[in-house]
Amino acid sequence: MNRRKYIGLIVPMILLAVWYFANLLNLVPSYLLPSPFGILKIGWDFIAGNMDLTPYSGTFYIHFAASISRVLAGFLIASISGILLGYASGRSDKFNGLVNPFINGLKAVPGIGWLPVALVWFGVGQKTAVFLIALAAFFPVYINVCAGAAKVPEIYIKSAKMMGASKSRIFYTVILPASLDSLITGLRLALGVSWAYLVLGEITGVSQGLGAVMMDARMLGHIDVVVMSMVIIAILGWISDYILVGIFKFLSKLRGRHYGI
Amino acid sequence: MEYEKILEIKNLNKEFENKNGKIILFEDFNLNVKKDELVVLLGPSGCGKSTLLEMTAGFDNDYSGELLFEGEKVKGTSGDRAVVFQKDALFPWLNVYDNIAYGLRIRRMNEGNIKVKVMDVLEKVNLASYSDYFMEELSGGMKQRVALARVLVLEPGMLLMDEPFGALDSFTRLKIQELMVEIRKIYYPAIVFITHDIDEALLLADRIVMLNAGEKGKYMEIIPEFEGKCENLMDKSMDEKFNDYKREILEHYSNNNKNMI
Repeated sequence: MNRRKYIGLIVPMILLAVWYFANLLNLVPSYLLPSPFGILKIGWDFIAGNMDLTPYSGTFYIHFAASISRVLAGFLIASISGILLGYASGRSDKFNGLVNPFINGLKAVPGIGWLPVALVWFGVGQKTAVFLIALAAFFPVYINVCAGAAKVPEIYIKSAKMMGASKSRIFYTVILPASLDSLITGLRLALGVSWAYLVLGEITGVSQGLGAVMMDARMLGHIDVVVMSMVIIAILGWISDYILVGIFKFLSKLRGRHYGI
Repeated sequence: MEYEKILEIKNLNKEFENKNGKIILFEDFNLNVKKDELVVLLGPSGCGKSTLLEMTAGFDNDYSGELLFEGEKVKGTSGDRAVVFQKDALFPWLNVYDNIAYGLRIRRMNEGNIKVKVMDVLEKVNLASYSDYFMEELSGGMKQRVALARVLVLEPGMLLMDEPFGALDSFTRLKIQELMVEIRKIYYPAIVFITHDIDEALLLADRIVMLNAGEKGKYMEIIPEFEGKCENLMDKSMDEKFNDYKREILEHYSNNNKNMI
């Protein structure tokens, strides 16, 4: 781990210390904010199930599987549609004129505004969660890909044309790599949004998933489980982002390319 | 005896409109370039040098008159009319080797032959040990040598060079100009070379065509012939006739571009 990565740990460590001392000195009552060590213990019990501290002991994998499948499904739908429409819109003025005003209008409606209509269309459950995630995650992918594709320097395209490249070859050997940093930015933002909207999709009454655990635990007065679920979602969000960037770095290294990731 | 023409421009007319009205760039412009010849198009900014190159390369087809390459009407781009741009036309995500191999891969050449050709041309431009370098690791002069290698490897009938050394400092520029002279002893494409630098034009050209930004139709041609032996560019620049030609060009510019700043 290099020095820069250590620097990234400073802020979380300070917040953790503030949290710990606030709890130790009773500045915040533990029924509102449990101690970090209490959360750690509950979290371990949630995963391993060896202490029976809460009704959720040992159920992590069931909820994790439910949540990750929704995140992946929603993220995948958003990524594929965002990438296809983003490139088409970024490279074609006509297509841009056709779809961009509509997409911008749609973007103005907050994700939570879609919840009532999603519940009517899909009912409570998997489909609503996936719909909300896909919808919210679509915009960062579309906007970034569209901007990246539009900004590809014309001189690269001229160079490729001059060397005899066909339109499809220009797309995958010039436009795609030249806009890859925007694509990755869009995907990373979308992945973060996917985790955020997972919670929204799961607090509407589904029985499994980390969001469902949060909602259920709130009603049972287990604030420690609520906070633990938040921490787990934050960690999963961080890990998934790390994996996403890692995949691109690996592919770039494998192909001997330098995409500035 | 009529020389063997590779490029024929007959009665070329080109105009465009901006907010000040119609601008005539070329009016019944004629130019022939023979095989192995290096013709420098010299002129101030706005005289149409780059537009002429764009039309010859096949990027711009909006003109009247005839533009023939090897007796055939120019239609679209071709690796046989290869362009060296001023700067930033190399693909930064590819290393030196892959940038040069790009055009050969489009021609579906096998990797063994590509390697031989790429390493050979890298040797010629003195960059054999830089094949795995990326663009951000190279100096401006090295990048232009890669740009030159990228088109030379395609063995084009004609090289179109759009102020290729304009962004380089004068020391690097002299070095790469000397390299150009050496390269012409190995590869024999016709070259149309655009510059607004009178010294560069006199050092490199077999023939100079002086374009005007002011009065159209009054083109001037110079075939620089020097007094001494002129074994290298330094000798040329010190030759007695060098300054005579320079004076002639400046006088022509002054007489035909009266409204220019």
